[in-house]
Amino acid sequence: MSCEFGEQVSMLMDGELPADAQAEIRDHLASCTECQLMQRDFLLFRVEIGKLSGVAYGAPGRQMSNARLSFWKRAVSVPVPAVAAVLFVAVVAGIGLLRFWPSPIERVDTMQPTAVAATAESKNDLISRFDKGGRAEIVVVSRAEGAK
Amino acid sequence: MKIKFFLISVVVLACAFLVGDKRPVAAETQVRRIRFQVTAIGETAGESSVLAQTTIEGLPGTDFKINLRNGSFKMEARFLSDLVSNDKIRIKASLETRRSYGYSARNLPLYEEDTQKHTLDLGFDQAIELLPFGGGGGTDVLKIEIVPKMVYLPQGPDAAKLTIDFDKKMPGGEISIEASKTPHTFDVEAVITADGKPVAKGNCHCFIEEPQEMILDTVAVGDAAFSTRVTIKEFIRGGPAGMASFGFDLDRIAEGAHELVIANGAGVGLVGDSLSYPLTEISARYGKKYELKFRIKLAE
Repeated sequence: MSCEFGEQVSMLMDGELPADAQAEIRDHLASCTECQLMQRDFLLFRVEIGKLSGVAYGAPGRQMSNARLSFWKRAVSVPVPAVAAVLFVAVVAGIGLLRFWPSPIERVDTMQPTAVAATAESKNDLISRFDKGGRAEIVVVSRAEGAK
Repeated sequence: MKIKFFLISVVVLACAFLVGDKRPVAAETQVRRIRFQVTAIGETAGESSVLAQTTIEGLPGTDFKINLRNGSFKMEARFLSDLVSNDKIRIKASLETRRSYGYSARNLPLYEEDTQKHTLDLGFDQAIELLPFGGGGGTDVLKIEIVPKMVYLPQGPDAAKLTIDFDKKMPGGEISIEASKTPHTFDVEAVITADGKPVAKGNCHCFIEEPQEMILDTVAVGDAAFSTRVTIKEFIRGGPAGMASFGFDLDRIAEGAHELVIANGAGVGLVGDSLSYPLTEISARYGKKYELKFRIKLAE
């Protein structure tokens, strides 16, 4: 590539030139065969890339390409800080879940016997309601204290 | 004067009869039995209701078992009773409870288990209160009352019968009661022989399930004494007189020092028969064939 405007043609394709510079390069393109060939190559390259990834290169191209692609192939561009923020929040949330999610052993430790006593099987019997998890006791009482 | 003396004598005798013995004269020809009334009472906020009631009656020495089971709790309460005097019963109570606690990390069931043993001397004016779930249940308390009573029956085939009357049953069968009459006291003889000749012997009176220490005093000059700790574990019906299972340890006592000869020995034998245990270790050491012989008999 010997033309000194080659790089500016590339910038024009990427929409990176100010308006006055764009007019100047377009004037040059009308007369420079080398830059015309380069522009054509850029365009072909962009089309090929778009076919492979479903993402058109460059802002105007992307809008057009997304409109043509099916829903499952469409893409959006997200600013890097936003992606970083989302990832950070996801990692913090994951660590929090792992830390505070009750492990099976903790479940055992915090399980209350009375919760077990109230199983569907035992709801029907007459004595489950007396079981509050206490230890059996046996005492001698005088009959005056007792029932008889 | 004679009439007056006669009348006073009659009054004094009558008073002595009424005050001195509460039993009727006819009781001398009657058989003493013990009746246990077992009542399960549910107390809720001060209100009591009888959930189940059973009456057990049999000769002194009648044993019974109360089983309680619900969805997550199981209790087996065993009561061995003995009449120790005219107005007192000794109850040996053994409580075993098992409560489901939940599941482990590997999804295996976890249980709380508890075993308690109590010896209770009980008068006929007293009762046993068994609280299967303890007394700290707030307003809801389950109580099983066991009330003993001495009763008399005329001598005859019914006098020795063991009866259980289920006066009120729980519809779900949560409480069940069993009763039995088995011997509780045994006489145990132990003899150590050396080359077939007794060198030490002793005897003791054992109550079932209670370890009993027995010294086997030397009866031969030059031989050591022994001591054994015997526990009659169970009386098993079978054979002409039944069988007894027992466990024991044996020590040799030489110059005041105890040397363990057998640890955790055990056996099951016919009541009245002899069981032999060769003592190989001390036989090899002292150059004689030593044996330990046990004979277990029912106590009179």
